[in-house]
Amino acid sequence: MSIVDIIQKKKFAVTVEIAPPKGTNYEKASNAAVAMAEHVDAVNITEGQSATMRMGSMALAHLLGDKSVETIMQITCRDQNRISLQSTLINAFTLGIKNVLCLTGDHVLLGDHQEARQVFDLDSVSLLHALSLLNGGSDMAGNSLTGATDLCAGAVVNPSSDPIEPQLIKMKRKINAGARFFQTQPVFDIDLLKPVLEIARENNVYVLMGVLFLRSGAMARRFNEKSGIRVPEDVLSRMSDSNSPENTGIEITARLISEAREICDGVHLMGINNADLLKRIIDKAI
Amino acid sequence: MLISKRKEIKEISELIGAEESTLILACNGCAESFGNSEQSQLALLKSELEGQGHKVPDILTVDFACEPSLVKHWLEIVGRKTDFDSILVVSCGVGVQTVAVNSNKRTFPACDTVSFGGRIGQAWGDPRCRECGECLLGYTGGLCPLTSCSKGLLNGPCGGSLNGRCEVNPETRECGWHLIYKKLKETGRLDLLERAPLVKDHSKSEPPEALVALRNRITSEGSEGI
Repeated sequence: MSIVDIIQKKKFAVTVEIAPPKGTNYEKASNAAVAMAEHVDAVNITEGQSATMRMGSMALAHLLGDKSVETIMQITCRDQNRISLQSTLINAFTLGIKNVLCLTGDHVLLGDHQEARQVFDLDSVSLLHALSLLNGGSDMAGNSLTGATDLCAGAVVNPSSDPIEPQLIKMKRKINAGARFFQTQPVFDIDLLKPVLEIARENNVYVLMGVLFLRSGAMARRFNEKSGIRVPEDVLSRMSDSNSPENTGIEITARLISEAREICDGVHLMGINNADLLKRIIDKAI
Repeated sequence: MLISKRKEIKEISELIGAEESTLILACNGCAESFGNSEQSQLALLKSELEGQGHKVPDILTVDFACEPSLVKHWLEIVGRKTDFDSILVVSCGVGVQTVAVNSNKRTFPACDTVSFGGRIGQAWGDPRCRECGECLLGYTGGLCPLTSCSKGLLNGPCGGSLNGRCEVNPETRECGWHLIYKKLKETGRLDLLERAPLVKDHSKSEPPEALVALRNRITSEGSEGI
């Protein structure tokens, strides 16, 4: 079932993301994903996140599909040109993957192979366009396919961006290029989601609000200083002053999930790597 | 030798829009010094634009469109006697960008720059041109997304822009797409960002015929400094 089908059926979907291993030993990641899948509707498999070299998302998504885990395979434009990206999408569909989250990808200078050449032949918008063409039975060069894909296309938007207007313009371009659902970058102030939801409602696409589990005050401060994600002062001080940062992080995450339930189509959880923690958060959010 | 190709009048006309009065600003620098300047082409361009219904109040020729002080000086002088809404720049990509950042007018390229032939006019530092053979400056406020964005993205900013700075090196680098957005907003052309996805045609960079022409010229004339 595609994530859009799940959202339409359940009205509120929960996804969580995990990273493939750095190497061939996938059992730990696979077991964690299977355990977490019991508490969520689908598991995102990241692709070379933070520009680090790892097992590709397609391999782990395929392995998890064999274990009946619904997955959202992430794909980025950093490491492949348009020939390879289209081929990857065909490969993914052939291996049973239904959902693909199309991202631009982090800059190589943020990763562990800083000397690498980055590609960006396409970007997130043109990748979505390519995916739509493949779903329609042709490639970017206009050639017909012997068998079209039927992938459910997702994209990302950052509601914390300041100014927000360029992000919203790009969100519309992604919708026009074929995005059917959005998983946002982490949000801590739910009001920031309103302009994103407005566009989503106008265009009949779905939004899963990004929720990042904070482990410590230091982590919260780092995100505020080094990324396009805004952590409000009250959250920062709650985390920094807490005697039990994990419990405080769980409370903050659970509150955000409850708030999201009121206004959007689901949540996308980040920073959670085991089923016990995930269960504690979800139990508290209900 | 600067190798560039003038865009089709249809593309130029669509970019400029129907209601505008457009100044042609032509660079005479590299083309003249390399001996391939063709002034008659400017009159032809003016007449083609007028044929498409555009008003062209003047043609301004500057020695180097990549020299900010020259551009500012001449635009100020022309601005005293002529009203115009936008500027069509006949130059390489560096010239177009220099005009864009030194004026408050909408700026569009008339040419696709294929090769500088080893020399870039009077320019130093930013802005830069990648000689891609398919100039997109008309869609991006006269600021090149290939060189101003650290990822060279064509369809908008990534999610990592922080307070208008690039997440890769916020201390030293502005987000190119933040600059493009600001310029398009200031000049009332955010509509240019709502078009179909831009996808680069890499086959247009360094086309074989242009390289053959360059090689023939070097061989026949023994040009120095190329």
